[in-house]
Amino acid sequence: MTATETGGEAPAPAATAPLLEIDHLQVLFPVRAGMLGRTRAHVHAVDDVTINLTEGETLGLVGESGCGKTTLARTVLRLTKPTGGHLRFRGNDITALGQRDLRPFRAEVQMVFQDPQASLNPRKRVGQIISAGLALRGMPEKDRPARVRELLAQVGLSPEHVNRFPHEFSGGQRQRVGVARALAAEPRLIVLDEPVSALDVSIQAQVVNLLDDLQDRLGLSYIFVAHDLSVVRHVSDRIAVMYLGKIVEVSPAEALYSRPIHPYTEALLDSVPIPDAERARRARKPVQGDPPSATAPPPGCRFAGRCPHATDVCRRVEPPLVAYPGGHLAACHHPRNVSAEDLAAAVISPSSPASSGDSLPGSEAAL
Amino acid sequence: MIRFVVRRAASALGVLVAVSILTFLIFAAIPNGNPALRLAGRTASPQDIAAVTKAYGFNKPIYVQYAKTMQQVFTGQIQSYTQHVTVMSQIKRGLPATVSLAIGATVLWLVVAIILGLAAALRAGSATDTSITVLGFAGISAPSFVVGAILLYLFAFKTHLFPNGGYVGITSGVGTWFHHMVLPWISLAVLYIGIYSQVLRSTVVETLSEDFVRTARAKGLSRRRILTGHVLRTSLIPLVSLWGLDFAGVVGGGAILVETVFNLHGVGQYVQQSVSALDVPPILVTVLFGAIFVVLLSALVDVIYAALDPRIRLAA
Amino acid sequence: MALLDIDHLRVSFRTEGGTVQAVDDVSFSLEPGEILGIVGESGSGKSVTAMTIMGLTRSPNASFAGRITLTGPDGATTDLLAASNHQLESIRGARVAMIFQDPMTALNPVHRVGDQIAEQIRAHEPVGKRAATARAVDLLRRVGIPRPDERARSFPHEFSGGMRQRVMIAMTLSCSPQVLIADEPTTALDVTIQAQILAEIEDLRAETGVGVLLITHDLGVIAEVADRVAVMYAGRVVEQGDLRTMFTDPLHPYTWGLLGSVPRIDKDRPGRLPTIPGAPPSLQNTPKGCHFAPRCPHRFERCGEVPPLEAADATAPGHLDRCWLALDTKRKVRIVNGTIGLPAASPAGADTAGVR
Repeated sequence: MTATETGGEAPAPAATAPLLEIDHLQVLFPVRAGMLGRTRAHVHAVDDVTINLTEGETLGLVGESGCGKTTLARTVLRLTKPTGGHLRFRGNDITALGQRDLRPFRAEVQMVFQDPQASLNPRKRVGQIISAGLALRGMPEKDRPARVRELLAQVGLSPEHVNRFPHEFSGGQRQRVGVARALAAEPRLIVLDEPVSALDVSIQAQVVNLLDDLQDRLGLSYIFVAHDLSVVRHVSDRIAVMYLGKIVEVSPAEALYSRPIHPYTEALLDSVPIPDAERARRARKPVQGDPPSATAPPPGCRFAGRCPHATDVCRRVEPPLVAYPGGHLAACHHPRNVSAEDLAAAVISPSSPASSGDSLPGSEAAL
Repeated sequence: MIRFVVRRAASALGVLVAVSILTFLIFAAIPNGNPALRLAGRTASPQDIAAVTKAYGFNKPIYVQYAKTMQQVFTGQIQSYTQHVTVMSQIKRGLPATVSLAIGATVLWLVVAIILGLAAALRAGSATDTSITVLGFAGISAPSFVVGAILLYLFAFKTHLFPNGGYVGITSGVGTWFHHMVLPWISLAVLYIGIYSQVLRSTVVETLSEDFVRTARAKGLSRRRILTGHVLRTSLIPLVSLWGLDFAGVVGGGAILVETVFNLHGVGQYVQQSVSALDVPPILVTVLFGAIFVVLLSALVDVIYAALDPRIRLAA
Repeated sequence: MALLDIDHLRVSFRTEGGTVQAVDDVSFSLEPGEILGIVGESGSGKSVTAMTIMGLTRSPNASFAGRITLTGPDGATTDLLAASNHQLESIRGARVAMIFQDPMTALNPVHRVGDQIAEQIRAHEPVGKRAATARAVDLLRRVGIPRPDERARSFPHEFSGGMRQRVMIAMTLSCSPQVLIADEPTTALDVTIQAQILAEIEDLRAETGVGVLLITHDLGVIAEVADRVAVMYAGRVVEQGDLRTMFTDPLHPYTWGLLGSVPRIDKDRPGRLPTIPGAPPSLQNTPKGCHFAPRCPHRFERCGEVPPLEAADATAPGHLDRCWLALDTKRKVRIVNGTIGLPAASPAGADTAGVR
């Protein structure tokens, strides 16, 4: 919410060292079958994903259910172990660290979950829940109560609520408690997994504004995972669109909405219902079909089967992530909304998956 | 399906081997358990005992003894240490009584438990529900031999409505057979009625709040159709696995107390006599016999499960 | 006479914590071939209203008042609130059908989908099993399920979420109902699938002339498919009118707040999202008078009385709202950052002089 303002439309990742580097990350879940539990197949939850996050930035992660956005978020927190690639936090490789060595990292990166009802221990008082994060930072016990009260005030709750149980709060207040718990560890990065999806619209706006304020005040970085494209647009500096384990497009927030390059992004945006009687009732042509299975993803572009622009090459060759001017990346053989100059300036991004092809759109692929 | 059978058979074999070794070791480890003492008779001299020990190979290493015993088990030649008859013949003699007990009791407990459980669930929170719950817990906590003894006292000694125990084969008349079995059936069923009705009550209450039951109501189905076609069908699934183990346990000689109280001379009573005489061969065989039933029934349960719930695959 | 007429409906439930007034004097009507959107947040009473129309809220702890009148094709009327359970059974699924939010749990996991559809047909019509199953296959084909003969024999878990919702729609269609109640039919679905399902509902309305009651929290969904909108808050309808009027000339402060707090992808993003302060009241202890008053920056003394649901603007007959503020005052104050929203504080001049 601040990074693009300071960095302009094209964030310059070279200027500041990335806070988090996700480097060709892969997470495969084995599908076991039979009594002996032999692995029959793998779910390609996250399949060769590369993206960096700079300090103070909000990265939005969008996609439909099963696209791997939640797995990617959990893997960043090392709640899930990657099966390939690297994760670096402030330049330190944390891919293979054991639980003990992860401890300092655990305080630096916190998570806020979708369902505050399920993620807060119902038998603990709010004060105890928040204190756990302070303990992670090694704060002496006597100093904790005062800090808990401060944190409650910071998230817009009354410090008097310290002895209440989670069920005594409304949904929005519980999510504030979830945020306070995350803040207690004084993290640099907070991974927010659908933090407002379970909340009513009027409460949603309150929590989004709170997250905004906290970021401004504390210089936090966010990874904001959501399926709601309008909320993501509001909070993000940059947005990555995922489809079936792959990143299909990364772009500064505004550019993604004004000129989506990947047909999937275009289809997603087209499907978002707009609360405006004048704008609605456009000729809707929804994308047909369901996403294919992540256990046996199709070769080539994973969206090809549902894509109105797909050609033969899309079904054969996985498109590389191509960097267009303005920090806009997309993995498509038939990019939308790009000018001839954009195409001329396009290069294959080093973030491209290893399995992807090496031809730029507009070359032989477009034939 | 073939895969399922092969897998099941392999795992069953493993279970049986493990059970037999464990049983054998337990009785070998019991102090004063030397079977030669029993085989040689009450007035045996130390020389007699030594001779028996040598003849039966009790001085050999334990694994040799085990191998020899198992060989006898599988050829059906194994004999009791106290009575000089084969164990198989004894089990064969006890089986009709035990099977009669098991089948009758299980029909009784399933029917009554389903009626009570359903009634309690449909009137959850009412006085009916509370009294069924109280009765259910009373049934669970009353030991079956106490129930049996009370029933015998009331209906056999006091009023002579039913015979005073003993088993009469079904071949000597269904009426007589039935007359002799009523009290044992009730004594055995009381516990299971208590458990099953409570389990069913809670699953029915849970199922009633499922979305698909709401859908069924929204479809305009009658109350009866919703109960039988949607609620009961789903709620019976957890009962199936309970039933498999319980029924196998009773057939395999697990109704020791009820069989003894009513003097049914079934497999269970045979187990009781063998245990009190520390007679290892019948114990070993009856334990294996019970284990076979448990394994068979749990395979059957899996098949029923897969039939009741399409989300479960036999091969998986 | 409207197809479905809800007249001063009140629904309350006795709970351990006291009486919950879930629906408090709600009136609206639905015409044949119309899609009426009911929008509100959790606890607004929108789902309870829908379930009450179906008779699904009946329980020993529930009490009802008012009338729910369903008019048949022959002009005969039935009060669904007064109908016997037996009468309701014959109406549910046949004349009034309902789609639920979560297609993952709304179908019975142990029965084949074709059988679940056939079961509904046979509950209402004297047809054989084979004929009912054949009709089920036709219905599945009609809602766009590929290979319907084969899929009719599949179990719900073998379908994706979107396909299951199509199965639900096929099921509700099976007896050609007059009224279709869709309770958050797309909330559990992905956005591309949501678009497919909404298109399906619109097609059906056009083909069959069914009246649709679409319940949702999503103003975007309402704008896409509804003809008229009713906004509910804390058990009451606070405003209703045709779609365009509701979005361009909303008159109730809660509607402004709702419209303002939704982030939009079609507009410049504001620095901060406009919000409605506070949280909805507990339905066990609603404020006296207007339920929105405690959160409303424009409240004044008279808001302690219940305002009627009535037209503030004589030129827009179907547009009713429930607020004491005068029309021109409302039109003056409702703009925030260039769009409709709930202004943070009452501007000068919006005193009793602005009251209607």
